[in-house]
Amino acid sequence: MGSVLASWRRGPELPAHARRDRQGRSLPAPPGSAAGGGELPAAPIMAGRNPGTKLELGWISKVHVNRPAVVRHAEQIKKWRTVKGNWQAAWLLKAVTCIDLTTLSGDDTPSNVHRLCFKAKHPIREDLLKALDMHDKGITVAAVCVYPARVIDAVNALMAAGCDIPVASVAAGFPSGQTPLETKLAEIRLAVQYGAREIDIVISRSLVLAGQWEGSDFIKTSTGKEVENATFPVGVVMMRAIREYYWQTGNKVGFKPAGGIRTAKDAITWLMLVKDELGVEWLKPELFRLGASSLLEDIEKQIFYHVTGTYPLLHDLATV
Amino acid sequence: MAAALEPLPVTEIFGSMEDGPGAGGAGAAAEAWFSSHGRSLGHFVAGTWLKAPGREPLECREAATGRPLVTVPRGEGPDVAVAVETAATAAAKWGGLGGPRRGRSLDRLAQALAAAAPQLGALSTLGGGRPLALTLGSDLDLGLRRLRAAGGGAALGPPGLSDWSPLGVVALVIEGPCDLATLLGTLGAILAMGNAALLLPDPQGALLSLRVAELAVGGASAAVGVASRSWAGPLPPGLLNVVSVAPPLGHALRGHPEVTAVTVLGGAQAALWGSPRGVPRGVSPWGGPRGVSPGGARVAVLVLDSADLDSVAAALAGGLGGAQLLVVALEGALGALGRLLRVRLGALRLGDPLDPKTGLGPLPQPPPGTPHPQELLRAALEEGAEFWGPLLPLVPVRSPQDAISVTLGLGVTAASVWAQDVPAALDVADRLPLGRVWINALEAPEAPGEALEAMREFGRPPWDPPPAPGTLPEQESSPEPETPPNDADVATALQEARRAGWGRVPGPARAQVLRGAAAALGGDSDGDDGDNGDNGDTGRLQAALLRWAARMELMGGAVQEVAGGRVLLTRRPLGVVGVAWGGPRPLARALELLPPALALGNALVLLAPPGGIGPALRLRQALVGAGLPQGALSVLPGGAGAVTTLSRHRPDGLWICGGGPEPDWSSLGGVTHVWVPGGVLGGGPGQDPAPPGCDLELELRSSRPRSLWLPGGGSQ
Repeated sequence: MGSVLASWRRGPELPAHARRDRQGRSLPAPPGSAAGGGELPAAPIMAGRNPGTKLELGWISKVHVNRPAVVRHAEQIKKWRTVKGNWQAAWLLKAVTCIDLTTLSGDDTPSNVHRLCFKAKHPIREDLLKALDMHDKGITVAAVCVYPARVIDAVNALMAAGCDIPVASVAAGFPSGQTPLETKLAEIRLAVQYGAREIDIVISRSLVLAGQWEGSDFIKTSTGKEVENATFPVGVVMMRAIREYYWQTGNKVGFKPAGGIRTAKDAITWLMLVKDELGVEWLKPELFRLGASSLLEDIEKQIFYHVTGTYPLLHDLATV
Repeated sequence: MAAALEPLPVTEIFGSMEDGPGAGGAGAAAEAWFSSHGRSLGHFVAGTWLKAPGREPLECREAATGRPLVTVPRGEGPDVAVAVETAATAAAKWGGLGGPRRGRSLDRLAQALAAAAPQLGALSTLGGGRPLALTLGSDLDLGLRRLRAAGGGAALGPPGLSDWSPLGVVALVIEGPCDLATLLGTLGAILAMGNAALLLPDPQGALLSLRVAELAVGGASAAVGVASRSWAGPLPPGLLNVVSVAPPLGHALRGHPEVTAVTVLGGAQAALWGSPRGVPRGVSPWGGPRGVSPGGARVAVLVLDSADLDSVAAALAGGLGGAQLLVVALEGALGALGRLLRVRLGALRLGDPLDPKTGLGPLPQPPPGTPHPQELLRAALEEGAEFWGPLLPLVPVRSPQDAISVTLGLGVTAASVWAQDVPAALDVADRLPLGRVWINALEAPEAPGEALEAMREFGRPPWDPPPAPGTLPEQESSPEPETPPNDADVATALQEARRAGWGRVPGPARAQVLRGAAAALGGDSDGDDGDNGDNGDTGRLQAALLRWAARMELMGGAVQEVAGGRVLLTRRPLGVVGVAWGGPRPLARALELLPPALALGNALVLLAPPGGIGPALRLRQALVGAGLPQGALSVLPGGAGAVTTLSRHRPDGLWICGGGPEPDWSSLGGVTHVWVPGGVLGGGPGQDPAPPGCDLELELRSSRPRSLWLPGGGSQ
């Protein structure tokens, strides 16, 4: 149980080719981040930085998790807290804006990353958005998530499309994290240099247990490369830890479930759990992401149905 | 309440991220049923609607708003007569079908009800105000499980009930709204034992009863005549008959000896019964009224230091709509729990209970004579109490021991103990003398064994032949002058019995006391070879003491797997049992009832009939000499009015020995375990020993089930 991933969301230092400007707070540099780029503004969307805290074993020893009770609670939310009609449409669009649209395949190429980036900018068909009066609300996904070697492809594609969706990169020996620290740091540094504004890092649990832990801005359920990935009960426990941390320190840490989230219904359950455990203020891309690849297709299908009353044919919606 | 609201625009919801209303299908399904009957229902008798002319219409109102929903006719004598006759005919056929066939029918009934789930959930919510998420969720789940368990019991023959026969027609008086779990569980037990039921609901309970009865025959139109050998629905028509009633009810059942048992579901019994002596003659003693509290039970939630407080808060917020919850928390956990509860309860959705997302509907009307919650709240605020969100009392305590003491004073029927420290949780759970204790869960599933327990209430044991109507013995004039029992003495005896602590003595130690008493009674303890009745009685009494001592050594419980955990089923004492004589049977055999009652840990207050006090005192002397605490068995002179006197002091159980005239059932309303031992001890002095199976019956009558729910075996 517990997070195997921590995400670093980029603070003030941006690579030279990051284009959009927005004023950000001055924050300490993350571990291993590339220095420089000081003239550039802060990353556009992050809520703030978590400076971390000292390891308080007394605090941790008071944490009690009753697994069966958490499982039952998650099942109840999934069963009873559903949304219908316009509420469903709005919730699904909110989910879209929180998606880290992801491709993490060994055979990723510039062309499929390019298509992914187009989809990131146009996640829902324009006429469908128009029917919901949401066409001018800037509905895009939250980020595009790729391997470090594909960051440049993504950055270029998004730049060509004239949009400011950040590129997130998994780094630091993803998905196992079993590479030397030097390699990890170099990988992160390169990804940032290529233009990644957000880094998903597999944490070194050995370091955390030795008291050397760093603040992370987001915690992520899993790599998506495991047999079991983001389950609702595990998510509930992580969200409760986020809330406790917020109450203790005043820092809001984001939450990113990832892996195996494929249906619109799953997405809504995740949003509902976030609302239930952390409140509406966490339901924004600054504090919540859904790591997913095929989820968007199902959401667009459900929006199509909501607007037209029929399910789309194969050619009605663009696929990645 | 199901008014269609104009949906908010997507843009607005996108900003607020409100959940919006839940699915409205359930309310609509209920409305459709009302409309299909023109908002005027009848009685449901013999599988069809009975609308006699000239009946006063009674209004069924939505509990949450008071909005009139439909009318039902007020049942009059002729309506009840038709229903009783129909039920008696149906009962004769149904009882003869055999267990396996009855089991299959009950299973089909469960299927039919499951298919109409949203409608049943909505009707229950409309009538009682419980949120739909509960009525359609846990209530219905539990009700269907009980129904299926009863069906399984009928098919296989539950343990200890072989050769039992049906009672015949059981009247089920439903006062106020009755939750689905209680209603279906009770109907399941009645039907599984081969009885027919006559449901007598008041208007608030009528909706659910009528719809269940209608679905049971596959809809009114599907039903064929009672005389027919086959039927279209799950149950043959005539098995479930519903006549809506209004107080006073007592007269309605008068003159119907076919009704052999009356069971009351719901709240204050006096309200519907009307006159205090309103219960009909002819109601057989073993089917006397039993109060079964409906869903709104009081549950204590004990929070120990190591509890997962987030899960406690989530469970409390989820359970608030279904039961009256009282939190007893250790001081160390209180601060953090309070903060979590503020967040959880603050986010709880209040309002229309028909919305499946509503966590808490309007407060039910308090019973007459009790202060309104608002008044209590105002008083509490004046005393400096803190208040937020829905009403949830939170009692801080210093130690687990304090938590137990406080809980015992709250008058709860169940408890939920929260701690990750398993030994601590089990220790507290073991020391709570409650029928149902959950560890780290609230309202978790019950074990099938618990559902089967109810079946015994609606069957006739082989050693109790049915009474011929009108042949109940008249009260014989006593040869000795009777002195009414001294009320103050009875009160003192009950108080001492409660303090005696006999129930907490371990079983083997109790067995030792019984053995010692058997020896102290003297004579030949191997059995009765005496040639006079007195020696024979003593010998049998000694044998009973030794037999029950042996049974205590061997006694054990059972483990049953349920979804999400397992239940440890054991027996616990009733508490303080009052034993009184109603009539002519001699006392000697009846003293043999005491060894099982004491063996299982009950304290006893015995009101002996005139002339019978001597043998009782001799037994007491032997027991006390062997180590029985003084207060655990009191022997007082009884006589006329003994039953009434005892029942006024609300013992945990009341045994009425000796046959004789019927007691005033309505005066027994507050006593939950009333038993009139019949042939369980054999015919009388000098006759054969107790029939086989009797010991089990005595054990069950002397104790009540206790279930300890332990989590585990979850789905993930």
